Amino acid sequence: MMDLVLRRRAIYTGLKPFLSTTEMAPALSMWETEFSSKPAYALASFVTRCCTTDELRRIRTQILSALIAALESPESLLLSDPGSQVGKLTMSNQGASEILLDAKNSIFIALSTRLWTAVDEMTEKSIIDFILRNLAHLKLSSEHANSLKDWFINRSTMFPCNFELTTLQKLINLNYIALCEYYGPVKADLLLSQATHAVEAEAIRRQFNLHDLL
Amino acid sequence: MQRMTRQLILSSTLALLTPSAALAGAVGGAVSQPAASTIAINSVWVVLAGALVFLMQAGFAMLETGMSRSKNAVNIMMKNYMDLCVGTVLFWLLGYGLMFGFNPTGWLGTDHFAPSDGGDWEFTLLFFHIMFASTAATIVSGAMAERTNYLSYLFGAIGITAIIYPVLGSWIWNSNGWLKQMGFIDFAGSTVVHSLGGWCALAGVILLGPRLGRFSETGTIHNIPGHNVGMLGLGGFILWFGWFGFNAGSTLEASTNIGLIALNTQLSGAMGAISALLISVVLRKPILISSTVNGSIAGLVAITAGCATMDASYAALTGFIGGIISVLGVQLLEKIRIDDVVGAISVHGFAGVWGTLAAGIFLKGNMFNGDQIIVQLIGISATFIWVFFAALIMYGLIKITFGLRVSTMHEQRGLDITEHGEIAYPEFTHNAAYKTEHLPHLQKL
Repeated sequence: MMDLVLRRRAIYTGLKPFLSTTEMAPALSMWETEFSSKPAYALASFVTRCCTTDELRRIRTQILSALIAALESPESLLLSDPGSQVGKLTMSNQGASEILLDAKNSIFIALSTRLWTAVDEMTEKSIIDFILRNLAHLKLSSEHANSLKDWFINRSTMFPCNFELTTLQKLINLNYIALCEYYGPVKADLLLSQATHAVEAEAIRRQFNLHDLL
Repeated sequence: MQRMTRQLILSSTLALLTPSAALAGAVGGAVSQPAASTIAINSVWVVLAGALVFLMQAGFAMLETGMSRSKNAVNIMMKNYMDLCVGTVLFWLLGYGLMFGFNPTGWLGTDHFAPSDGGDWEFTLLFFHIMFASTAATIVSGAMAERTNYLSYLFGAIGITAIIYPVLGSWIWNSNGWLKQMGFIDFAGSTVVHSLGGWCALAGVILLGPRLGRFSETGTIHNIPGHNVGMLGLGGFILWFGWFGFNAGSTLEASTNIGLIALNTQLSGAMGAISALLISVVLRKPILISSTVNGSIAGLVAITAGCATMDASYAALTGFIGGIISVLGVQLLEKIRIDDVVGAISVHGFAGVWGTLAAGIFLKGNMFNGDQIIVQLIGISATFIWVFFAALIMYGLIKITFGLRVSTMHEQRGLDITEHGEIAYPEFTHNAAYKTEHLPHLQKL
């Protein structure tokens, strides 16, 4: 399966000839939040929901064909990644006020980042993809899920909010499962232990029990 | 085992007439009371053999622990320790009666539950058979290692020792058992004990699914090596040692053929290891200690059915083929994405089938008899149908009610921590994510 960024590029490429800039952002956001983890046949209902005007509805089949063609195109023919639109919409709506992260969320970010930097870029993308595919199991509110999804995709953006410890624990566990999937459980154990050791000092400094995340 | 049921029934019948008569054995068709010294010698031998079979539990525990990751070492040890304990009590309470009680239909024993009175000889037999029942149950633990809920596993062990094993045993080892009546040969339990363990393990691992990351979505197979090859090797030696009690003790008397049985056992085990090594070379695979030890155990499993009724050269051949089956079986299961941590299904299930068939093919004085081979095939098939589906239903019920598999968080931490609150090697965890000092502060799952 193509990774999320590549598929987003394909969707963007397919939609570009038909949608205006103002129509594009919500369409991409909708795809990411509701359709990115669904099978290909769900594209038809995605296109239906994108066609908000009569003019677009008339060329619905054309849009769908363009999307399918783009998804099957080689990477070199796709437009560059527009970036995730999910968080941007919600953040701009909320005025993007800065959130003061507590110790557990800060250490979670440090630990996750450590885990990702220990693997190659391809695997990192696959791990993030795996986590995004399984985010639904965490039963977060759609707003939290969307903003978290956005953070996982563009990790340079601000962490959306302070999550509960159990959520963070499950996210680390998803990370571990993905590591098992791509490297096998023996290396996954090793990487987890290395990442744990690397952020231990920071956790102590912030008076947080790192193993609460594990 | 051939003589055992006859002796048991006779001694039980005599015990009803007079308590001291339970000491009586059977000689030919006539009932006579052997000298007390003969019974004493037989008892010494059978009890000693039972103690050797007990030692096999230690062998299984070490072998399985060595083949698992260190974060699950306590869990495997505990499973082997406790399935012996619950198996002992359940077989005494229920299993023994179902297996060796009065069996008018040929399908099930109906008395002798929780025996507390009777003859000395009956107690000797009960002791010996408790060890067999526990062996059958413990085979499963290795296959289901590293992801099974501890209590659910023990419920499974109870089901095996209380129902699945004794029902099968009543068909094959009870003198009125329908397979016994057909002439099915399984002297010491290639089918009754080992195939049974293998098929229960197969049902269990199918319902459990593989360990995290063992078989990835992309099709990659990740090897998960055990943490202690020394323990694995020593476990193999101890199992082999115990096997002399398992096979030679099944004479249930200090008889003159013990030497041949022990020799056949030794030859078959040795040939199993040699053939496992050779097949690894032929297939250009590394010569692993796990496949070598498993090869010897497969040889021992294979000869268990025919160790008393086979010439030494055929015993060697039986073991040789058993070793090859164990290696190929492991590869087959891997191909179909079945995660058996220690190779128990291949070693006990597949090699047990081969051994049972070989007992019919190489039957001394009646070799290659088609009728005998058909009887063996009927027994093998009936065993698979009963054991596999009974175990599937049992583990299915456990899965629905208590849950069979632990959560992914448990697998991440390791079952030693989540199921037992212990770490197997607290002084050697410098590079581990979880150390002893973290245990009191870990969040409850």
